[in-house]
Amino acid sequence: VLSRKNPRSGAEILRFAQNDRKGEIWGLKVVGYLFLAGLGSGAFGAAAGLDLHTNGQSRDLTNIGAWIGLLGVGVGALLLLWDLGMPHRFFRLVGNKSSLISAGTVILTVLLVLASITIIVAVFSPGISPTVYRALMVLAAGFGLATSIYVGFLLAVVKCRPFWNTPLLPLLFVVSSFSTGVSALSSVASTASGLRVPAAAADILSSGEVLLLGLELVMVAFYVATMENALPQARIAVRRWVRGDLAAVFWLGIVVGGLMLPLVLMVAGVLVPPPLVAILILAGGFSLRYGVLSAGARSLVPGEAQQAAFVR
Amino acid sequence: VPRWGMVIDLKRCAGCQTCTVACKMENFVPPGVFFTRVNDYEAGTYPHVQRHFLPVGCMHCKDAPCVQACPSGASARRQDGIVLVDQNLCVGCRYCMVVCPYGARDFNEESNAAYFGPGPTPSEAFGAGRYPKGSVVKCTFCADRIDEAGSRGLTPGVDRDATPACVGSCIAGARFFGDLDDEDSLVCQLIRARGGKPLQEELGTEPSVYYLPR
Repeated sequence: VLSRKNPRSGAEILRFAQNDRKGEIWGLKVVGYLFLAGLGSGAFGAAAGLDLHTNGQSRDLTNIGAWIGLLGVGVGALLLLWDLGMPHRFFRLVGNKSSLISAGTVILTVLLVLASITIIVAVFSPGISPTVYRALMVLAAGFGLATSIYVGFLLAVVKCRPFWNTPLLPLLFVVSSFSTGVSALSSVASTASGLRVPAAAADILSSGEVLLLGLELVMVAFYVATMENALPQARIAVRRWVRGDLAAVFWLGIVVGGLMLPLVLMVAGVLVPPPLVAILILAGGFSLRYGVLSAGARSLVPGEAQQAAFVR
Repeated sequence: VPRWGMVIDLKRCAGCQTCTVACKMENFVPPGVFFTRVNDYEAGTYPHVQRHFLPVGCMHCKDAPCVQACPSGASARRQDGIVLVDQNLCVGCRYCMVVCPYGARDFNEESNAAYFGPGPTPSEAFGAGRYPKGSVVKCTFCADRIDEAGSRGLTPGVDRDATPACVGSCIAGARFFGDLDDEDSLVCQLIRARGGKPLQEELGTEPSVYYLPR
């Protein structure tokens, strides 16, 4: 992510020109939001799925899922507020029915309310009927899914940025949301002491995680292949990912560190502390958002790149 | 109601950036922000190289992506085709900058930024506060001038005081302003006669700025 200030060195000018006249428009705070909202949404999905699968026998774990969900989405939303030019006008974010940001704000708000209710219920009335509890979890998971879908479409609908302009992107974000959410939950499940964790719950989490990581790896490959054959600016982005300034993010962060290594460790049953695997997967999820956001350059108008080097 | 539009003759543009500066003066545009600018670039490979100039700014699209994307309704298209940002509504989320195909928008990061510090010049002091810190700003087609045209008995595109500053200041007469919905207007005649086209037409945003080929 480049600063919006003017570039200095030659390499910097080149990177700058490949982006925008003013570099990146959305920076690390938005990357953080995309990642945390995905993580939180995924945790809700994992918790709801677990509650259904174990028929309410893993309440300890699903409660933790709700906590991860609330923290992820909550901190993400705070980052988003912090990123606004005029945070005090945040209530105006819902002023245009046709805007994806307005729709997203509504979804995010509902999700935050649902998450808070779930936590309040879990803390203050643990004896609540399993049906009500499950309904809350499933509802939260539904809005979580909506959240991870809308953040993908926020980028995918932008026609002038070919690297984002594909329905593969929201799909990839959704799968990544689930994989980060599940991995956070399962690492807590396997480390926290004093939790009642049924064997069935731990099993489904780890096999689900393997499935999600495998799927994500295939989708990343599809995404890169699609973009290689898309408009020129998308091909430039692929080059930046594969052997350019974002190569470390792509290979180390996303492909090897975030997907392949955790997959191998989990499938081969190598004894590593589960939190270590989770850290790898979460770093991979963050790298994915960072890589996508950083490489989403606009198709430039003639002369714009050259002009970027001179204009002050 | 007219649909205001601009025609830029690339055969005439000399790349002098007078429009860039005239716009800065007229609209008190802060440092680091451009409502219009002239891309100055080389094309071709040696020895067949040419220097090209391409004035760019907000295209005031008919189907503007920024208007659809704006969550607060601050970015809106008026009846007369001018796309404006209401500085009182803008939240500063910058999604409009993300979706604009032309990079026509800037984020005003500093309040009261001055070119020649310390402190503002008299001109800067006069224009201070127009663009609040944290809002997104862009070309207005000098909407104030157009809005006053009626009461002053002036015609936009004809009378200098009722026409965008970049058009009136162009030393080469490369910029024209007028009603795109009026078949007989000068801008429409020029577009027809010279085969004028907008930039990145394929995105389907129907820009109101047309370019006459060099």
